[in-house]
Amino acid sequence: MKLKIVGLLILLVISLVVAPQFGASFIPVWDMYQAFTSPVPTDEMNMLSTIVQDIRLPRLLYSVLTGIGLSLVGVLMQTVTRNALADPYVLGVSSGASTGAVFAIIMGGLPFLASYNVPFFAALGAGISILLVLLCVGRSQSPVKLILIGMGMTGIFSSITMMIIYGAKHEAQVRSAMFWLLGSFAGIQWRDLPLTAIIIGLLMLYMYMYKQDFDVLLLGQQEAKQMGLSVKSLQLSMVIVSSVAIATLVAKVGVVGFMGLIIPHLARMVGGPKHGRLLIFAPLIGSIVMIWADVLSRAMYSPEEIPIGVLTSLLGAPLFIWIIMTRYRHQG
Amino acid sequence: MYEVNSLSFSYGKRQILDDVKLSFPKHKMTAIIGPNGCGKSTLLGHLSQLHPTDAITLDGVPLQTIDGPTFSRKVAVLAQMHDAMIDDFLVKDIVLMGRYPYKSHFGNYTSEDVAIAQSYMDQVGVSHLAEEEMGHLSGGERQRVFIAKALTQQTEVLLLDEPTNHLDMKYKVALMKELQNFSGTSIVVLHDLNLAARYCDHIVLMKDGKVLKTGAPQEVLTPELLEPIFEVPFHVSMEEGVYHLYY
Repeated sequence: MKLKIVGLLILLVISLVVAPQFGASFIPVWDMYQAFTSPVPTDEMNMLSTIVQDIRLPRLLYSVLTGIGLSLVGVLMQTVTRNALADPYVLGVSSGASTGAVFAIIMGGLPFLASYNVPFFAALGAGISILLVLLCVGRSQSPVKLILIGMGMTGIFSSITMMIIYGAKHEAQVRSAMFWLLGSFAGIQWRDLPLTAIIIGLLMLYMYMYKQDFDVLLLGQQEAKQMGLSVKSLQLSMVIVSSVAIATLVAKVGVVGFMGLIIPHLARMVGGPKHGRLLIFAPLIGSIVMIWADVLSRAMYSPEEIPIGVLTSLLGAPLFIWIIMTRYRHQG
Repeated sequence: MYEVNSLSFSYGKRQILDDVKLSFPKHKMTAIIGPNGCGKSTLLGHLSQLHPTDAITLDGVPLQTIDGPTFSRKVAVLAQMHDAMIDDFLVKDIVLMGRYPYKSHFGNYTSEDVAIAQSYMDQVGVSHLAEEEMGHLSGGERQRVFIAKALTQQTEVLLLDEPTNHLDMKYKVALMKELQNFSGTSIVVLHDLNLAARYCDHIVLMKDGKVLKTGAPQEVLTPELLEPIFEVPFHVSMEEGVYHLYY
């Protein structure tokens, strides 16, 4: 087990060093090193260090945070719903966020919010959707009801989003909205990092504190209750913590599909099903995969960029089918 | 011990339990028997805090006022169904979860917890499966793992809903002997009347949500009482001190 963790850590470090090379222009690691360490930097070195420092590094670190966040929320959602097919967006949070963001992009939002319009309205949409889900679920503890209401809410918000896009007056607005909907790390800056880092840090702390409670919850609602677990409050806290984390990520980078579905399965294959282990393996695998998904999204049609959600779905869907075929090959 | 005082329960218009009055003897094994749909599992569900009620007390304390952690240190429940999401867990991890009620809130299981879990795996005969994933086990093996988990909870009371399901004869007998050796109180929903006759100290006979008779096996498991309920002819015999039912 320790060997696997060390192996993944090495892979993560290599990814963190190698990934900033890729972008609109290829910058070798050695050139980056020289640009940052040279006592007398040339203009070209200054430009390189600016590109890496102000564009590629914040983007790289945000992709790591997104990988960690999506994979851990995926674990939480699969546990709270006791459903291996659940993903971070199952409760409709992302649809609410999408509606808010598309509203801001196409309708313009509030002038005084300026560049914060999209994240603000995305977070607002996410908040409204999760409140509606919680209101509809009421006192019920049924995971099936939670999933079905989440699906219903997704349907409602998706159709509102489509209506807003249909009503757009300019093609550029539609393109901008679609690009956001499909997910992207473009435009991430250092100032975007602290809040997300705090939220993801709190998510990890929360999961560490309750890791054994999550294991017991998987026994089933009734048995977990009879084991002394406060099922209702645990499930509520899982929904709220997941929603806050997902709203934070979606507000910044849009909807990145399949990551939160696949990574928990990969983490279980590598480290086993206990949440204590998932808390280690899911973030490691999630961040590595997200770094390389972002690299591919920038490098495949450089200098053009493919929305990362398209790429993660394109690569993730076959991978997911392979995981399911491998894991369930003994079942009829 | 458990006292049930005028417990009634219905799903919509369907009356499941009708004015049930019972007390379960301490340190004895009680079997709840009766035909399908007579309310056995619903009664057990009430005893396990699944359905809220004011009609039950445990050691003189209203069941509903006992908080979850305290209840789980007093009563272990063997459920009939489990979610598929535990299929990846190892047997030893599932049995260790029996120590959950004793764990500090954010703490880990201790080495003592691991030793206790191991001792009950040995006792129930699942130690050789410790490193197996639950999804690879047969129905009977899974059942024994959950029995080991329930015993690992080290409670005064065991509630078991049809624990002999999926078990072959060898393990049925082994389980019933295990429950006989259990120093606390066990309350078992059983379909096998001969197992109830042979191993249980006390029988609760139910029909249509009502308790028809309670008492020692010889008093309750009589052809006169059983034939109208199960609608088949019964014969009884006593061989070498063991009560047998034939049908």
